[in-house]
Amino acid sequence: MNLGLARFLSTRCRQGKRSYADLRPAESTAIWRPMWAAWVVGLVLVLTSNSLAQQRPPTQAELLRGHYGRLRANNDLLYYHLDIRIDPEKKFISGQNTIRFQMLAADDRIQIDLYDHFNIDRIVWGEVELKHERDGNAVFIQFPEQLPAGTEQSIVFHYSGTPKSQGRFGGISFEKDPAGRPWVTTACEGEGSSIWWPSKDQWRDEPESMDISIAVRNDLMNVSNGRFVSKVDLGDGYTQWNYHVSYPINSYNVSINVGSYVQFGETLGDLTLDYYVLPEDLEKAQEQFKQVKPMMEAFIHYFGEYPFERDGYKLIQVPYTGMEHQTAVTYGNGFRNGYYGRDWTGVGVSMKFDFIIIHESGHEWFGNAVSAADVSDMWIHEGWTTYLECMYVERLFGYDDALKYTNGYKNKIANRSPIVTERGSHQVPHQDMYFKGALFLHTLRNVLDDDTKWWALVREVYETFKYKTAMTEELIELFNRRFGQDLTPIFQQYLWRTALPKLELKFDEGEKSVAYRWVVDEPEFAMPVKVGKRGNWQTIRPTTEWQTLETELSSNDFDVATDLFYIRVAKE
Amino acid sequence: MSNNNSWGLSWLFGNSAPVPEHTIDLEQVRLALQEKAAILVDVRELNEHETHAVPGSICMPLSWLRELRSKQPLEPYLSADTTVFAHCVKGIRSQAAVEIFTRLEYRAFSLPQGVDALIAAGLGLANQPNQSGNAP
Repeated sequence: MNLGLARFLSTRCRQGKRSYADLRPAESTAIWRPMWAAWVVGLVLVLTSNSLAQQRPPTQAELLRGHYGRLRANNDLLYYHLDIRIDPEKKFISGQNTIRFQMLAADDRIQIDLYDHFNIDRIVWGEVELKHERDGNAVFIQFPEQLPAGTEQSIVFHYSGTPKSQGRFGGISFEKDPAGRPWVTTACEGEGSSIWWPSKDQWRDEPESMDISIAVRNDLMNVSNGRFVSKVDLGDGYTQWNYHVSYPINSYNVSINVGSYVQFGETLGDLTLDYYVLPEDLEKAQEQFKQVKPMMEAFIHYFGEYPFERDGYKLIQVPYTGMEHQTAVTYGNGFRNGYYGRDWTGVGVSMKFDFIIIHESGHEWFGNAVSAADVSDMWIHEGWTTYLECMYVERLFGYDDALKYTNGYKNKIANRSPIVTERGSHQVPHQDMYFKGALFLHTLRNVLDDDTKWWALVREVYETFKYKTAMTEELIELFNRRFGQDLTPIFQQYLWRTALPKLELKFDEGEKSVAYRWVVDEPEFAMPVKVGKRGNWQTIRPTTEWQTLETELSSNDFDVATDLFYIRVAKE
Repeated sequence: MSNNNSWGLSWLFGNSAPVPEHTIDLEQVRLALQEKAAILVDVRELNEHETHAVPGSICMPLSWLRELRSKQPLEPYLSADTTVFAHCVKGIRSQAAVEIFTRLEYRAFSLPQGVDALIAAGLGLANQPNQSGNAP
């Protein structure tokens, strides 16, 4: 997701408290009871361990959206076939989604999500039309009998209606291109996939594969995720565009891009790189998109093969800035370097590349291949991908530029709230998750102080969680194993606490010594840091207790490597 | 597998050995398409199809078919009893496509003719698409 959208979403964070009663999802009292104890225990753990995000109470809609309760946890998605028709003039969608899933626990009810302004035409299970209840954007589907655990089930969810665009990018938007032709696109990470199609609109569960069939007017093209399968003239002025996604995909990544596109492409080994742009922008795109291949080579250098090689990579022009739709990355940066043609980090590096191409494509590794299981841990998408930008800069332009670029992000950080938010209530973290997340990883690199091991670890994180959804605790466990020490307090301080670690220094120039300690919220926090004279750094290992170091340097000459460690320094 | 065709294309529905391209009569293909007993698949790439195509033919590029490791991705679009006539420009890619379709247990035949020849044989007129999309 690009930063403009993040800024919009982050304004939703407010201070406040909430009561347990507010947390009750409206599935039904009967359904709620078995979950109650687990919920309270989980909530207390979260509240006590985090000192928390201090956000406003979640709304009922956010709880229904974010809570992974019984009616979601009782099944595991296997497959979607989204088959719809889009009328750009009437701004109307109609069609169905076939949802195949395996029951993990015997039950007779599940939750699927669809915004309430859509009609549910019918929901069919075999030959049986199913009953359903709606609560806001949640749809509770009732089966006539218990579905045994372990069985595979399939329903067809028919719906129709006119979507309501909302949010910065509309979720789904019906626009015109500069030549006046229809241009229908989706970007719904914030709003959720259910703003335009019926789906299990959460992050934890992803289908193993998916088919996407979009019927549009004959004069238009649709580009979606996955591999182009076929194009079928339906004989009534509409053509159906079919795509197959052969990897797990999170629901907000499913996208349609309906427009008057022209296509060009290239290959990188067996990987297809296909580009879709408006005809009048073809020449500019052919020049600007030359950046894709070296970017791919850079990320392949760090991580190995592109994560979705079977489905290929596509870059598609859209009327908004951009989004990381899996294998169908969207682009609206005006074919200019930087971010909308400006130096994004303000240190003279950003203008060397197209920020949207690099950032949104970087999400193929973190966000799409490695996905957070809850929006609370979205830094796994955004912090890591921002760090991938820094890795890209290091690979293409060298370490010095990467160091400048990474540190250029400091002035975008507010440090006003933790970047991991409360679980299960769809609380989108503050945009600090991008920049502080990246600078935290940069700090960890220097804590490890061994680049060979660092790059191996970065790759191992990717390989370990590829095609899975993960939570931060699982990453911490891996880091702890590879560092050979417990980094949990460091992760806790950077991700679950607001304040940066402060290195307090007290000089005694008569004794030629300096006393040092960390001032932090986490009592067990202990992190090495480089101090002394630039070019001849000395590593100290402060804790929250005072320690002393002999030094010939005066307070003025005693430096701290704040370009390698994202910390505050207080000298006395 | 249907056997009640009225136009004598027993080779189309039978279990006999593969039919050599040169023995396939385009008039019989036209009838099969008209009867909705078969589909015409253009296995050229999308950009070629966009430039010039037999009306109503389904664009399904060989590059995609080559990626198939199972029948499953085709199932939403091709029912098990679908008979496929594949074409490209000269019959080279369509022959490769037919080998893939056959491996995936579809009955498939390669047409060596190019787009213009197939249109001239009336396949465009016969190949009225199925109304499989959702109602507007």
